[in-house]
Amino acid sequence: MELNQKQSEALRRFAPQIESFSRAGMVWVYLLLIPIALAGYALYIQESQGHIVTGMRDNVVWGLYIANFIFFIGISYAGAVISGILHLLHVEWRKPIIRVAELITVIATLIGPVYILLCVGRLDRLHHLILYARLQSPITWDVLAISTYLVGGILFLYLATIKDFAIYRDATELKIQNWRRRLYTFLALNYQGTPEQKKSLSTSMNLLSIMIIPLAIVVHSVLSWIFGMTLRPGWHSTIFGPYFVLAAIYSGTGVLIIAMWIFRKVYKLHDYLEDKHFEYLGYIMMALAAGYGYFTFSEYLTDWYSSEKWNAELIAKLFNIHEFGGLFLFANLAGIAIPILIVAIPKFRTPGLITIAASFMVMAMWVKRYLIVVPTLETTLFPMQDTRIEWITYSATWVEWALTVGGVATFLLLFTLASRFMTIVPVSEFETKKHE
Amino acid sequence: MNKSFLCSGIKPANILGVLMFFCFPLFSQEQQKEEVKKTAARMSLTGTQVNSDSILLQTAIKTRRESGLQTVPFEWVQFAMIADTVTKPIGKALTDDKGVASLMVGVNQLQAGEDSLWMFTSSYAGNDSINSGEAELSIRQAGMVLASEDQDSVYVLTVRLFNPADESPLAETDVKFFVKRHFSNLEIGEGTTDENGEASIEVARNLPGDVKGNLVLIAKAEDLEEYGNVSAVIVKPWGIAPSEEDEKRTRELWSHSPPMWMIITFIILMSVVWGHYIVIIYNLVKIKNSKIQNL
Amino acid sequence: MAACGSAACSCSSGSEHNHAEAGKKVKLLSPDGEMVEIDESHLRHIHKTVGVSREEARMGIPGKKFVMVIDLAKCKNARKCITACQKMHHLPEDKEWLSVKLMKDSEQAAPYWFPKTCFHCDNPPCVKVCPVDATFKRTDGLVLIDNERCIGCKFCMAACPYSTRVFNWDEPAVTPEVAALNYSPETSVPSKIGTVEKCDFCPDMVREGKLPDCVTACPNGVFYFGDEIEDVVTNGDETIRFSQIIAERGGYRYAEDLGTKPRVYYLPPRDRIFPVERGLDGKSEELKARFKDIMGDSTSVE
Repeated sequence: MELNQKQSEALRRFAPQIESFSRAGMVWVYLLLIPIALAGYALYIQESQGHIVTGMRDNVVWGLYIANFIFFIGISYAGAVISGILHLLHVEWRKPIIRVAELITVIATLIGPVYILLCVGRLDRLHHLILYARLQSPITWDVLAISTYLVGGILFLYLATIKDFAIYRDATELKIQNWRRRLYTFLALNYQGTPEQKKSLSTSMNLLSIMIIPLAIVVHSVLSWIFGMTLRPGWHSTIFGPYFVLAAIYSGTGVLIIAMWIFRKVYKLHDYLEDKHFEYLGYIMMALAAGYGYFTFSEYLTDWYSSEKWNAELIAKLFNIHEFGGLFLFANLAGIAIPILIVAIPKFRTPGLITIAASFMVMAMWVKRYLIVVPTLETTLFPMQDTRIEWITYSATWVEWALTVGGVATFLLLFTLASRFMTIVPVSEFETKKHE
Repeated sequence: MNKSFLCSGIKPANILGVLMFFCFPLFSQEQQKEEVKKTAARMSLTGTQVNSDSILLQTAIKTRRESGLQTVPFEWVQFAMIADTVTKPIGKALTDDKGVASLMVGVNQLQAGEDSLWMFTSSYAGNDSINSGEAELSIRQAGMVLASEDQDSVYVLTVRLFNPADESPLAETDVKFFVKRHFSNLEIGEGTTDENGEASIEVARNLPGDVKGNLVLIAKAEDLEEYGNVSAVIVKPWGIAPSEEDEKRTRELWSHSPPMWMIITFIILMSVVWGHYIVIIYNLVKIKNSKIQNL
Repeated sequence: MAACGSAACSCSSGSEHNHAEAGKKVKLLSPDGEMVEIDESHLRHIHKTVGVSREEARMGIPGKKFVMVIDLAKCKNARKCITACQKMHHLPEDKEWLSVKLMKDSEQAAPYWFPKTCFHCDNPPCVKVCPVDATFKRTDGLVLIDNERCIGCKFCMAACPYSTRVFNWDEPAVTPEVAALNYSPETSVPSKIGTVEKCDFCPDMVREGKLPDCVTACPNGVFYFGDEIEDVVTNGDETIRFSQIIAERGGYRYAEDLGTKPRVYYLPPRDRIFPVERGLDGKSEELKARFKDIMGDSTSVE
């Protein structure tokens, strides 16, 4: 494939990353393997002794695992919607960041469902979900939606990387092993940049970009309906669908900003991932924060205003500083107020501070998912009248924490490995204006 | 060799005696242990005469344990009848989980002894922890028949209680009327037999019946001195048959099969999305197979 | 024989076996994977009913719609129902498919004891959400669980507003004999790790025309069980017309507005036969502590 000047420059810049692992890189990978190994051990303990080793009991039947599941599927929206929408709007500045976004989508959608599996009591019967599926169950909707979404995400990432694979295949100056070159050749699908091929590729990209947006909306709505279709306070809310979708796009934006900042720092990509990228994503983040804040306010104001006992009991728990009040405050301050303030005030609108805001926001969004799952389950219609503390309140055990940290470590590891396999900034996207 | 050994004076009887001398303490200890452990079986035997042609014998075994009087389930009980001092076994049954064993015996199998009394016994052989036990019952045959009338939309059930030996009526006897239900019998009336041995009740018209609208109606006179329990059964189409509810599989949120609109929506959504994927994959195959003109 | 080895069995090899006489033989698979043949009368020492197959268990007993009426005026927290249910289903002491709550509906209202079974709702929120059809609603009104199908996702537990379902968080502690029993969703025995279970209204007993153990174990006749189609319920002593008792005593269903259509009706705690404090008599400190929010400290009683 013929490369223009910008592309050649880019390829030269990124070649070292994909050619070999630096010392620091290897150390980083080994560091990640430690929590992953610990998670593996925790999983072994859980499967051999039963879920009694977790903090879940008959009242709080879902805990950290389900919170993680929602969290990971949530952040996967980085790619789907941001890349998708920005692609359709032909927004030029999206080009350097689309690969990071799409990688977040695929990796998060791979890791998220693993948490449901961790929560399932009989892993030896997973095939029942296919053989005996009941269409009326929100979990069936979830299985269908997430598998469809995963295929879509992988296709999206792949379509956006074919051109790059062709470039790596043809770049003789790239010092890569033969097996890798053969792999790139296979993945490049004989792409040579002919007009027909370009047309096929661009049609596919457009189709998928259009498709992935309603698909993403359906996926997270379906996930929210696992909660929304029950009779429980805090769950049985009519706005759960749009609320979850908005929260997902929002948290996805945050993770995207963090990932961009890390890659910019580590690989010194300041001329590709420029300040303006952070600024624009910051604006998007702020707008989404406002939307998310609005939904949150509406949800809790309505619940608080109503007098229904079962609802009021939950609200009392959330607002009580001795129960969930602290977490609730953090989730809303760090999750809504901080991002808005930092981006709104021009003096604070720097990549560093925006990233800090995004980091707080992502943590707050995790806490928020926890606050959706656990307090509602601790608020039962019938009085619990139990004396065992583990059955009354939920307290995650080391097994659950190990698997949570392990999941994050796996996410980072897969990201690291991916950045070794393809350039983190798409080389092929640097086309001079007249080729557009 | 052995013969000479034995003949030399050590007789088998002596050997046996020596063995027993040593073993006796062991035997008696074990027996004592058994005796201390085993509890007595308390048995009761009742008989219900049904329709003048059969008797339902029921025997209950109870035994005293630390926690109180306990029923003895799942043990075999032998029933017998005694006629002219001859004990003839008539059957056996296993006690159920409430410790009650039941046996239905036809009247024609039975012989009355003196005073035309039937004598029944039930016996329990015992087990490791319970001693054997027995119970006895003496009753006279009684006759009970049910007659029904259905006039002017009024259901009337009449019972006649008599002594079949001389057809004499049994008067001044309390009789209760029931309709058989799945777990128990529902009382629907009661009466006292008049000088003809008859009693009548009106049966309600709103009792649910079986699929064909039948009711199993029972009359019972209980704990009569000479006769034990006496009952009669009759089946009448006086019940309300249940409505022809469609017990077929409906399509609900909670049923096995989903509502039709769900299936249709699912098919449409899946086809649209995966259809797009197929088009995309087709495009990718096109890219792969495109002929490249070498420049 | 693998199934006749522990103290749970009253026979001992060598003594006269009454059961060895006639009787149906039943084949069981022992936990070690052996095929074992046992006399059915002996089997009934381990579990007193033999359940129907998993396929048949999904169909209800034809022509029936079971219903339960619980008389709150008579309950004094004797808890014999709970122990009978646990014994019947070989459950440990801390697993309650049937629980007795102390309810106090409002500030001024008087507390009362409230036995809570599964309500076997006609519009069951649990069945709606099961992704694998492991829990199902039958034509005879019962909601059962097939613990061979259950994947343990616990969605049904999250969906049930009455907190009636319990989960096997670790390996259930059952004797080898019980573990070898043929499983039926009608017996709900033996329990399996990683699956959900709950009160099943004992359909195995009901098929034989017998009342569930909780009904017969209650010393005060609190539970009435019967068939709505026959319009009769009984507590073992009294047999009454269902529509009549609901009308006369003002029967109602708990949280009616949730629209789940429970099949358990309650008779209000009016004209009670016991004062509510009797429910704490002779109970352990741990048990009394469960109700201290409503009854206060146990030191004030007696």
